[in-house]
Amino acid sequence: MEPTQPAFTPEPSAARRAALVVTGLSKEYENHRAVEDLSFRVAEGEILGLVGPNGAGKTTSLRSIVGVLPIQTGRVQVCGHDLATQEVAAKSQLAWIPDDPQPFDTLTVEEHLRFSAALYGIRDWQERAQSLLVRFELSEKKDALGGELSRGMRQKLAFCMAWIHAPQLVLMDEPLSGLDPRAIRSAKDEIRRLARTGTAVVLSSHQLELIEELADRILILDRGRKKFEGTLSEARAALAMGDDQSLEAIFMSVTEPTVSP
Amino acid sequence: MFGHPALRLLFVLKLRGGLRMQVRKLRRPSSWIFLIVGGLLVFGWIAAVIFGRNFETARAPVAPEILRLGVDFGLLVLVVLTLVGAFQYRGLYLPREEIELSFSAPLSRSQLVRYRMATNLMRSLFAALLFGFLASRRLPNGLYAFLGTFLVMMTIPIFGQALALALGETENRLGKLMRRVPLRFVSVVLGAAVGIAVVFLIITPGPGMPALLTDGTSWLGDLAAHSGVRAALLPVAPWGRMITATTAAEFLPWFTAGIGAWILLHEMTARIKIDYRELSLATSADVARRVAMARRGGWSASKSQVMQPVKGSGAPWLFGRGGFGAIAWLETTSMLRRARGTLLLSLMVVILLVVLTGSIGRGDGWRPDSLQKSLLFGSLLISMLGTIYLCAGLRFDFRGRLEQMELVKAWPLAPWRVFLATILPETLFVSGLVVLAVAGRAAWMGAFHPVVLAVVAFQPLVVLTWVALDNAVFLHSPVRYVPGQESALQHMGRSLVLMLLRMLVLAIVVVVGLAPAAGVAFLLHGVAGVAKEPTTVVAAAVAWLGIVAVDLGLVWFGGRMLARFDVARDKGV
Repeated sequence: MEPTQPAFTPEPSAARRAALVVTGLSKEYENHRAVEDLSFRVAEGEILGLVGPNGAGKTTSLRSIVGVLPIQTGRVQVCGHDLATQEVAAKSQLAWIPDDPQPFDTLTVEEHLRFSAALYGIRDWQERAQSLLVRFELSEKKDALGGELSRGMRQKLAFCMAWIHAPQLVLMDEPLSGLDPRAIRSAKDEIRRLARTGTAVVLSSHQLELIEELADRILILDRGRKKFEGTLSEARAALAMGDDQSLEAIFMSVTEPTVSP
Repeated sequence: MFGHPALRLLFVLKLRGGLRMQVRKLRRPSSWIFLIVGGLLVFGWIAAVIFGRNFETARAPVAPEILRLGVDFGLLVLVVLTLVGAFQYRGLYLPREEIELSFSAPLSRSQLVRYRMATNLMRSLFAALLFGFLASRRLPNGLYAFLGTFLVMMTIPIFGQALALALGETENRLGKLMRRVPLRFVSVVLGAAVGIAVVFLIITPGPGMPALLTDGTSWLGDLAAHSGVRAALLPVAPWGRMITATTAAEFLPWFTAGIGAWILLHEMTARIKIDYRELSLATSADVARRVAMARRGGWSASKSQVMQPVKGSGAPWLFGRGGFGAIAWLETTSMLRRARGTLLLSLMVVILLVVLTGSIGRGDGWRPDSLQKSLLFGSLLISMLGTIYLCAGLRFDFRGRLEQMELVKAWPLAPWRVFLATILPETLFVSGLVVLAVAGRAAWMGAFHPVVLAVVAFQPLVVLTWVALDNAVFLHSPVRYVPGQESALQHMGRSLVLMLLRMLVLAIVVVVGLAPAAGVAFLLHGVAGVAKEPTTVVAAAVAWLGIVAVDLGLVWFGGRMLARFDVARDKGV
């Protein structure tokens, strides 16, 4: 059985309730500013594609939003909860899939799901776990240890762990790396399905065709700064490009070439 | 205690998973043998430590104040070591697989600190019981000694966590200023200071013999008379009084205070408002990197930091520009680029050996015959210990190339040539260092002994034998154990069995290599009546050739082991 979700009626993005509001987020490391004054919002059921060259600040932004990194400047609200003042309430609404998920070496796949469910106070975890294992084709691996899983299997397990508490907001960093074509297709279907149930998704990837295919809106970051936020059509219009221009062309036009050291 | 039900579940699942992993690794009979050997080794040692009464019966009764001083010294060492650990694990350490999940989950920082402290306490449980039993057998009142020691051992991890968080907060507040302080260096210095102090305490007071072996107690009293030492011992004195108490009236107040301190420290540490996330991420990444390094190549100079190459400079191509030369050049470059670790370790070993062997024969006042004796035994000792220590610490061979074996296996050379090219630079480097130490020592003493020439001639062959054997064994069973990994007993058993096997093979090699030389010596001197000196020279030459033959055999054997190596199976775990 799938995790139960309230029925969700798609509306224009601006009219929907915001699942994530980021205001003036900045993050500075010792020698450089990784993210500078970043603001954006993601509505319920919306998929936001986050793109940018290497070192643009995508991962730092995502890790700050999910609370892995402390926020130096700015504000993050998840489903109305301020991450700084209502940290636990905010985090209980979100799920995070890092770019290289690290399972516990000694725990089985099923135990990972049991633990994840416990983290979010989910009692009927078996049914949800069963459903997720089937959907992500991990049923046969439910007794396999985390340390025995291939890169693709680890990624699938990360999806299951993120999905198990039916989050209102999911943030993913390169979620499809390591997956085979069948798994990629199934993961894309699952992301769409999740958005249809009202969950907001922030998807960071270098696979521009994936973003183009899935995202309702895109956010282009370059050297820590927001370069563009909006739909593909809006991007084309802003850049005076034809309707046949791809996200790759937009990306190339918006971002600056990286200078080799 | 664990802060959150899910974290308690995680602890239980990890514990169960560890046991399951252990059971899964016992599929083959050899695994059982290793486990039994390892178990016997560890439990035999523990039983000997706890129930052995040699020291106790050999000594006269110790005065209570001296006994307490001894306990205080031990406690001080534990506290300093905790401080060293806190420098290395600033903030809240969480393993790599836990950190992203925990920080993005709906858990408060206090819950995570409680979970970490509970995990640390569970890990310390075994040590607390062991030390408790040990103390109960050695101190006047067994029960009080056990309870007191147990309480101290369960307080130390909390103390360590509090220190780590406090240091983390200091780093958060001072920022760049604190980052300039070489904390790892400070912790190493502290650790070294403890080590030197312990060595000093053991060897200084006695006339040549370690003081603890000759006079186990009086030196403690002398040392404790020093006001600085007394001040340093003051913070641990209450624990010392609790552990060495002889009556309930003496024990209970300190024990109650100890429990109170535990609760207070635990709660304060859990409630302290510190944002440790960035430091924890850095610490976790650092530990993960070091564990991965250890799993790939062990703790050795070969895993020290790589230095930026100086433009225009490069390692010499000592063995030609072909495939063989390229592999040897690769290893030579590794040695040079990690020169800091290589040189530090090498110099430390060489200086230590020269200093240690410096006093051999000195008691006779450097008479010519004692000089000769010193040169003979000192050179042999440097050769033997230098080979063992340097070969263990400098691993610029297959032992450090586990992660590149897929590449190594694809190299277009015969396996024995790949094997030889890989181990040759290290062999020559170690040999060069040992020869330098032996010759340098002889020059320093201003004397000569034929053994110096023998070391020059035989050292490369001996090192080649050792390194070839080590690498062949490694290629056969490429297992690296990292402290904290599961299956510790099995790993210990395997290490012991492999070490015995290695010694056996080495003994056979020596016998096979030297037997023809012994035969030649017998024929020349015993049968034909040739003088002793020419016989020695001829026998040495035959022995040299014999060891060369054995080394060639070992290189061939190493090549076979390399050919047998399966990258899919032999992953080193």
